[in-house]
Amino acid sequence: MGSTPTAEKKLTKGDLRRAWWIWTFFNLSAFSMERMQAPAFVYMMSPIIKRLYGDRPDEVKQALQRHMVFFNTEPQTGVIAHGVTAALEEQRANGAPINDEMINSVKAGIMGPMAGIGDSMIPGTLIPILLAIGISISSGNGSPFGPIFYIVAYLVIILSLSYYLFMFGYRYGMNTMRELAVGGFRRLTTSLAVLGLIVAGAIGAQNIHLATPLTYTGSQGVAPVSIQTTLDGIFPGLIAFALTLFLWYGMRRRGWPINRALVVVLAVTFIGFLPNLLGSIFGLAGLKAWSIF
Amino acid sequence: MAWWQAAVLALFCYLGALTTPWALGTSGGWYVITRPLVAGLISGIVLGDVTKGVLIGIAVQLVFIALITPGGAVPADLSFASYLGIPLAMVGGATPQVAVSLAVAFGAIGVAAWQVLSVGNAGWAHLDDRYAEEGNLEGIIRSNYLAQIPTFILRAVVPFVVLLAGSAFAQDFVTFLNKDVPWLVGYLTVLGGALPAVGIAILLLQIAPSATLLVWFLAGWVLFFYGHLSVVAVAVIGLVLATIYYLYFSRIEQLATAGEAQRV
Repeated sequence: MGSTPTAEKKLTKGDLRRAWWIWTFFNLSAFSMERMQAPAFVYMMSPIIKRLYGDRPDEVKQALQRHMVFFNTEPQTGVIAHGVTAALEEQRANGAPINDEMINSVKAGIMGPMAGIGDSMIPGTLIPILLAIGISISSGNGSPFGPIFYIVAYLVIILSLSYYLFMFGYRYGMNTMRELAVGGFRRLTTSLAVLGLIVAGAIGAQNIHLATPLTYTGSQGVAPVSIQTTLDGIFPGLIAFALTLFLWYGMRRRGWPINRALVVVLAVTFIGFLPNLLGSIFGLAGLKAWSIF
Repeated sequence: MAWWQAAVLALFCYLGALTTPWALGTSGGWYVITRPLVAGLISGIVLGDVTKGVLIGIAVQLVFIALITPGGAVPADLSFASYLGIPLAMVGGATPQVAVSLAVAFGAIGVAAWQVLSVGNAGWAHLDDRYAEEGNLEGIIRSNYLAQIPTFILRAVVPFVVLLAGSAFAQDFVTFLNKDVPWLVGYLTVLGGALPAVGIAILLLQIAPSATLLVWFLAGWVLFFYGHLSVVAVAVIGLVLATIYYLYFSRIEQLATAGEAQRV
């Protein structure tokens, strides 16, 4: 190739690997609301900065200031932005016309979307599925194998995925986002959402317990009818299902914060339980029979 | 609870905290050590009853199964829920349902602690700005380590004191709950059963880009009840359906591209 052999600066596989490990350990260690992951980003960049600008103190100074800006993404999958940044810095060190604004806009352009996709894929889908499997292994018997399964499965999947995404970003550099679009990224995330939603349905059905002890007594001599049994005949877990959709509706359409959703659950269960509570305190069995929960 | 048990549990509380690097950062800490399922196992080993620990861990995990922390906004502080709620419930001899309510209460208190830390930590970033101007890379690296001091105080020292002081009190408290105010336990049981709805609703909010996609949530719910399938079996069916969905849309896009090409 046409480059002069002495001037060419090249990041080694070891530099990139070191950067990824530093990030994996320290991504939130100095986290603050104001600058979020910026100090960790600079620490991650340290092997790269040393390799590319080690002999030029003024360039080091610039690089540190360039990367001390606000940065926040999903730490495990957002590393795609770190790989791209490493590639850009390498080109810059070799004389390509890349300025601070360009590097920062590329970082910001990737960190935002990756935070959304990463949150829905990792804590939103992968973790609940693995937890559900772990729970089903140990449910009832309390064996240690459920938690052990989760620990091993999660670490193997997430560490290999994160490493792959970092190197993917470095390999494709500026073309990363185009590569992702060609690869059907939207299609992939929608399919993953389908998987996540089906699993969420099963997890919800298994774990939200909200049944009513109410009974209906007809004419004398006829056994009282359990309202819950009747409801289960219509749709199993109807009250739990309705409550979940109601909370979803409140958060999505009415913009409730999470704390509001918690308060709603507290209020609904408390009001439903009030007859039982008052009946117990004042010793009124008749009142307790009217308790909804 | 012996002092060494409180110390080991407090150490795990620190190792699993959101801002602790030592256990593979967020991957091994926040997303593994601090998951209540794992915290139940660790509490069980430390307190000498693995079965009880895991069962309580599962009950607490179900409430927080879909905990997402977008942009550092922590809806419930799992560190305190897991490493104060679970051990104190075990020591107090609480049922899993009562343990859930205890964990939820500690989780709410922990949110305030987290907010203090994440605002105070901005000091490190300001220090780093000065280092950056001087070109002092080592200074910035050092600050990533020094920032562990406040995290350690909040996530290790505080839990150690609470666990030691609380364990003497926990037994009496749970006895009082069961003997004198059984209606409160009844209410906490109802609440513990309903709380997982919040986690599932947050999850739906996060992963369903449109309301129509919620039919898949309905499908999972119905498969569980009418199909009498385990969650794992439903997950396998989900994987098959997601793959079909993916291939179907790939094909549609191919046809659309081919159609475009023909028209041109």
